[in-house]
Amino acid sequence: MNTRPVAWFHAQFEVPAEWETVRHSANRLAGRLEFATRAGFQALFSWQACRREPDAPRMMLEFLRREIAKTDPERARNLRDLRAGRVGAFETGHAGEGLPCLAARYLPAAGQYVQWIFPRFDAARFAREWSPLLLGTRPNDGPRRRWCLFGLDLRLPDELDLEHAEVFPADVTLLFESRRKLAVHAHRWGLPEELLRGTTLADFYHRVLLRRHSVVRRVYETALGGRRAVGIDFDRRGEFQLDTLAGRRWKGRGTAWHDAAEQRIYAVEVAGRGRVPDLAPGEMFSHVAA
Amino acid sequence: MWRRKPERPAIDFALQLEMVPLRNAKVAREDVADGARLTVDLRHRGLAAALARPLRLRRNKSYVLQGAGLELFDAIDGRRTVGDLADWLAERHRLTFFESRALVVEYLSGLIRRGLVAVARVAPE
Repeated sequence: MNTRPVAWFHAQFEVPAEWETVRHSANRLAGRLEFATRAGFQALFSWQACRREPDAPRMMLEFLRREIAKTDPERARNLRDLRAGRVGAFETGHAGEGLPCLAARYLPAAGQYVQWIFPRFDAARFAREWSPLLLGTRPNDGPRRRWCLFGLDLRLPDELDLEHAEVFPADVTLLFESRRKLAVHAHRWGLPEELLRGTTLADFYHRVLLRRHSVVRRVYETALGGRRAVGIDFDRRGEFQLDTLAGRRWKGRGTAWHDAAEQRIYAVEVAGRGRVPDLAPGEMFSHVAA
Repeated sequence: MWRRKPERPAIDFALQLEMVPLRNAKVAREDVADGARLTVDLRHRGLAAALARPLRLRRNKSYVLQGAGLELFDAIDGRRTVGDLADWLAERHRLTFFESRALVVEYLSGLIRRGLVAVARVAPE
């Protein structure tokens, strides 16, 4: 089975390659990722901050009762036990074929209760597809946290947290910020032939930065992982709260490159208050450096 | 006196992929530098229809399509479904299925609003 990596906030795992992320949350404390194929909804991964390890079987039973009650209240009232099991660190539970199947575990270091929900229990799929997924679901920690979703694959210092995600078809921007006033913007665009029609990568990226209220200081050619790239030094006001009106300008450096084989344009900007942070694009984009 | 607008029928995900876009046969096409100019007749409604001639309201409107937009318009042949077009665009531009589907649906809805394309629901077998 072909798989692709996903890493988001507190957990990382490998999902079947044809699963796409159709809903996402950019909240560290509680949120979810939903995966679907053209055949429909496949799975939901959720996380919820918890100070202590919760009673997972009871939470799963309550969830199933609520789900079953939507169509069969009598059956929901009589549901007393889960068909429980264990896969790796996950406790699993379901109430029979055709009903949702759940798997949950607690990540003590992150203080997070994470849960997988699969829409309909199917013993064959459980063994073939879901068990490897559960076995591969592990904490996303370390000095460099991985952020791998929507085609971007970044490794960022742990102090940087996802602040904002703009996800459109073939146009993804993730913004990370730290408490030390350090910001990283990562972009990925599709349809490069259309974006670069009648223009150059330098002009295109220049316009992107201008739209983000940056003052461009210098544009230069550079290289990244053996590819030609465009570098831009810029100044920028903060994007949120009082920074937009009265903040000091942040100094930043952006790098953009066109991956012709993948038919995508990538860009990453690092900016900091007073000075450009010491973060090289090759360190952040692991697949580019390789 | 005022009739309520009929409610739009719900279109689910699977049905949307089975819809077949059709080009407006009355659209005039003229090739221009790196694209094509499509001209469609306008239909004024209500008061505008009565005043169109005295006020010399425009009778047609032109749009220039280029690049992937023109390729997509040309790929509409009355047989390919929305799903087929999404697969075609995804393969051609290395997009994921959901990226491609969203772009195709958004673009088609723009073409439909401008009267260049209509969509037909495939009759059940």
